Amino acid sequence: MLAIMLTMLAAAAGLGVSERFRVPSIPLMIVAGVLLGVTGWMGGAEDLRDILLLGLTFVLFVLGAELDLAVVGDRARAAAGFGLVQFVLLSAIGIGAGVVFGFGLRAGLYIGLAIASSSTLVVVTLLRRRERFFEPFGRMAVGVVLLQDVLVILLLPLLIGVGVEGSARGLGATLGLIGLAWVCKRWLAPMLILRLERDQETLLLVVLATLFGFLGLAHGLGVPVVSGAFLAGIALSRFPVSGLVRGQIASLSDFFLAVFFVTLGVFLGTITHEIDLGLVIVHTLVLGGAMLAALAALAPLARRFGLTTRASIEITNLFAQCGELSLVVVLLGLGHGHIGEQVLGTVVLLAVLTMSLSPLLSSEELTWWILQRLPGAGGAGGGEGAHSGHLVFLGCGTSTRALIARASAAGQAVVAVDESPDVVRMLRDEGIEAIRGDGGDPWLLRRIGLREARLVISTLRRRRDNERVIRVAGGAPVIVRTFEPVVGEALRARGATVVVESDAAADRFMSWYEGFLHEASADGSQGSAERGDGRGGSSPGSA
Amino acid sequence: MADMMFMRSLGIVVIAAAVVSLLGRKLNAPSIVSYIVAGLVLGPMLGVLTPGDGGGGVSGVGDLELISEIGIVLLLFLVGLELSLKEIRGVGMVAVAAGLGQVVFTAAGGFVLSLALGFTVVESLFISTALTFSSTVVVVKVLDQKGELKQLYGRIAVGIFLVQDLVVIVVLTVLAGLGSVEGEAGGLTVGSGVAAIGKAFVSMGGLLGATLLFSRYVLPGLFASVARSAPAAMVWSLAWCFVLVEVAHLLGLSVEIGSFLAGLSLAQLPWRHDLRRRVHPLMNFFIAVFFVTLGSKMNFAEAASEWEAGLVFSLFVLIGNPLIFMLIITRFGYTRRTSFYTSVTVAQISEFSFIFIAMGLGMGLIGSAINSMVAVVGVVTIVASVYLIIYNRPLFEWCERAGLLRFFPAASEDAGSEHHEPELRGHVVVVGMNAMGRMIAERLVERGETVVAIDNDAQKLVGLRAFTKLGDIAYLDTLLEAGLPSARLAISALKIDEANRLFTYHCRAMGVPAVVHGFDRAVIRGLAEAGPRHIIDSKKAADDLLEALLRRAGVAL
Repeated sequence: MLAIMLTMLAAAAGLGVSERFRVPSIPLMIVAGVLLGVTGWMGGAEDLRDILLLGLTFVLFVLGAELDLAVVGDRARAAAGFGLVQFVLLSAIGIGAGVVFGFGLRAGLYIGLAIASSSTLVVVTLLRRRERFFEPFGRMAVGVVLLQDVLVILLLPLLIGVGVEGSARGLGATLGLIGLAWVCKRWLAPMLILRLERDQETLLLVVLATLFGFLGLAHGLGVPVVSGAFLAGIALSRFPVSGLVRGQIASLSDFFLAVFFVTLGVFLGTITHEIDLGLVIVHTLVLGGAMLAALAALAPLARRFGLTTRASIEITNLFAQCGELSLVVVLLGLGHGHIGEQVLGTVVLLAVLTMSLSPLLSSEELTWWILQRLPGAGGAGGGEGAHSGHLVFLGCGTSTRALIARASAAGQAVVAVDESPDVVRMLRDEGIEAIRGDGGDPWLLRRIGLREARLVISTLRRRRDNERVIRVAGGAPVIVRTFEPVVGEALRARGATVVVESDAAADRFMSWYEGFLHEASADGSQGSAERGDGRGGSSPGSA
Repeated sequence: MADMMFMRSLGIVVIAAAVVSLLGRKLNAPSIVSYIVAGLVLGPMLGVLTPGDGGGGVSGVGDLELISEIGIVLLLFLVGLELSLKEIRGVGMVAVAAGLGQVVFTAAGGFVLSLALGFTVVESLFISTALTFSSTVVVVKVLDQKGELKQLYGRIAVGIFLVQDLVVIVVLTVLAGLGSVEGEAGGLTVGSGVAAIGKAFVSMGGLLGATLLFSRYVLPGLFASVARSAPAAMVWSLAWCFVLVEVAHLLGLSVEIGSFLAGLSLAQLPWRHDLRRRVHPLMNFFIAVFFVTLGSKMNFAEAASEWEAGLVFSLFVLIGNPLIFMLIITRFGYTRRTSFYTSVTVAQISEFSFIFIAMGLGMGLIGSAINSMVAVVGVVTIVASVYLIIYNRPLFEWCERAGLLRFFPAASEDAGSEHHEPELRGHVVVVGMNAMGRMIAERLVERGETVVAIDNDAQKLVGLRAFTKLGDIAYLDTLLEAGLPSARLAISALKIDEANRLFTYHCRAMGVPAVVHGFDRAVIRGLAEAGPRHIIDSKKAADDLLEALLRRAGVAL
């Protein structure tokens, strides 16, 4: 119980700092664990293995359960293409580093697999927090992390299996388990779990029994148990099963993730005497530098897969980190005696550093800073004065496109800018002048003659982009669509006309609601009778 | 990788619990009964789980002791969270009187009964002690499942168990002393008993006082920094819980007392309901392991030799204990109904009973036949009492009708008051207090509707004129507590696709029309498939306004 208390205290410290400084909690919990491990209060490394393994399986289980390919949608091909190239390139760097650092080829393979994988938890959290999940960039990023997860799970048995035969057997058994997971996902899980919706205790046990069932099978078939855990997650990842399962395992995963990362840190802390820390730091920095350079070289490739220059920089920076699966890979390597503590230390330090820096690396400010310094920035295009008296649309979502089409059909000169190549193609097919690019890019805005426009209509999401648009537009009238009333106020103060999405939506809802009530009262007076009951007797305001 | 024995033991326990629970559902069996049956199957019947540590290909429950103990900690933590200090204080007197009174009467009754059945004095001492205490974990788990912890009888029961917990500590200390001096000097035992009682009460008082001071002056400020992140707040709360458990342990108190006080000290925080919903699944997992291992540890090897005695003792616990309680509680001004409900909660022996007996066995003071007999009494009384608590209402009606309760003096109204939450009907539930959700909630309130607004960020609920509920809709309980099944309409303004789909799914399952936010074209088709009554296409709504603006500006469209 003392160990649990110390673990939770370390996790609480990590999470507290994470909340305070808005950095990912995972590296902080690992660091807190290392500090705890160094004290020696948690006992020897051997005592921690059970709890580490339990935490590990939950990490993989949660990753599998969160796997939702539907989010990726039409970005699947781009994500697969970019993700695959990135995976291969980073693996090659890892293998090369393993050999150059003198760890040997096998350790190199582990390092390669570890650094080719980014943190799904960090990427998804950052995209959600920044509300960019459904942008082309966000969906592609989700596709890439999912691909990485699947590749690591498929390749792990190859690494762990001894000899060609062992590896082939491992891969075969993994494919068999994938088949079983698919059957569960499609038929068994919906059949069983949807019946238990209101019996939450049994639901939880069935979910956990699925996890342990897959673990047992994996163990019996000689597949890494982490693969079993991941596939158990996949078996439960179909909606609405996934939703019900999430309600049950969300707090378990919060708990076990905290326990896992702290325990991993403690484990490292207890073996620090076996590690040459100076060498670990040097290796980490070299490996990290090589990773960053390789990813920077991949930015043009991302552009080829349909992202704007800015989004290309963002996506490569977002993936400049190794994540929880990297830690799993090296832990398994150590467990099988394929790598030493030195390699483990290097990968963990790299993961801690890169995950901590991830919000900064993928921040809007840094992206913008890099963008301004790219060769050709500011000089592209020329062409100012080519337009005047035209309508400029920045960001062309589905309903905006209908407006654009009508304005164009009515003979109005229109220039449309959107970052999606598909949208641009659709607009061009209708004979509209459409440019694929970043609506917040001042050079592009100048090129399309923003100052001379009759009217500028921006549906760009980011506040700073809109501020830039207003600034570049000078005296030209700008209409901005924004969701947040607060942002609307700020943009209005800068001279824009603002349409606040939330207000408009609330208005629209209220008129629908009147119709709904009318319908309900026409169907029978039950609704109005209930309304009378509900209002009586209690006063609102309590939280 | 690491030794898989621990994972294997845990896996076997979880899978068995799930399978027996699924089968038990058909027979309407309470979860505790299913878990204990699963344990009996795994342990005494199949021998898949052994009582000690695993080895030789057989899994052992020894590996799972920590998991079981965490289950108890979390269960009592939840009980503390559920109750406020005021509610506990209100039942303090009756809890102390009934808790201590029952200990004295049951111990004396059990002792006489044991002697009468032919056991020796020392054996009778152990047996009567084992029969004296009721299981906090069993009762609290059933009350939690029934949602009746907050009811008057639930609170009295919790108070009684806390008092008994203190007595258990004293008895354990005395027994340990008895073991160390090998029963030679009675005077020493009495002396150590008095010291143990003094130490337990001083420790309890000190810990309670310190916890209350923390609760009032330190915790609100400390937790404010993580209040906006529910997972962080949960980890902080659990860290606090384990700190108090450890402090309680250092003071010689039980983990139950430490975790209960931890829960109680956080019960005044505004997000306690959200915390409770989060800790609940965690507790369910750990406590299932506790009950399965409890069942698997039962040793019936020599039960046949003492089956008559086992039956007599079982009846004594099932009938005698509640009778003693009825006599005490009705004297404190409670109705017969409340007294009856409280009394049936004590009709079982505790997990501590097995510890006492194991200690006696270890000291060579009793034989293994008694160990088996107590195991029988344990299984019979725990299973039967679970049913007694679950069916306490019809049982009371039957006893009342049969005139069995007429000998007990009773008040017409309870000394304490029952809790009545205002019941919501025909209201509108609005989830997600972003700009749109707030606007909709406010507009509905202005229109005269009763609105329950839900968000998982307390700051977003500030200043709303609606009823507010802090919580995450990933937890079904959040929606149930907002009265979703009786709502007229449910709206989600969230910009999280899977949450909106799940919300729609729950609403449809409860027959409530759902309205969800189609915040992006990419999600609208998937949302429509989930079947909401209406999708708010916020971008389209704004673009219609945009169109009007363009027309006003003279743009031909």
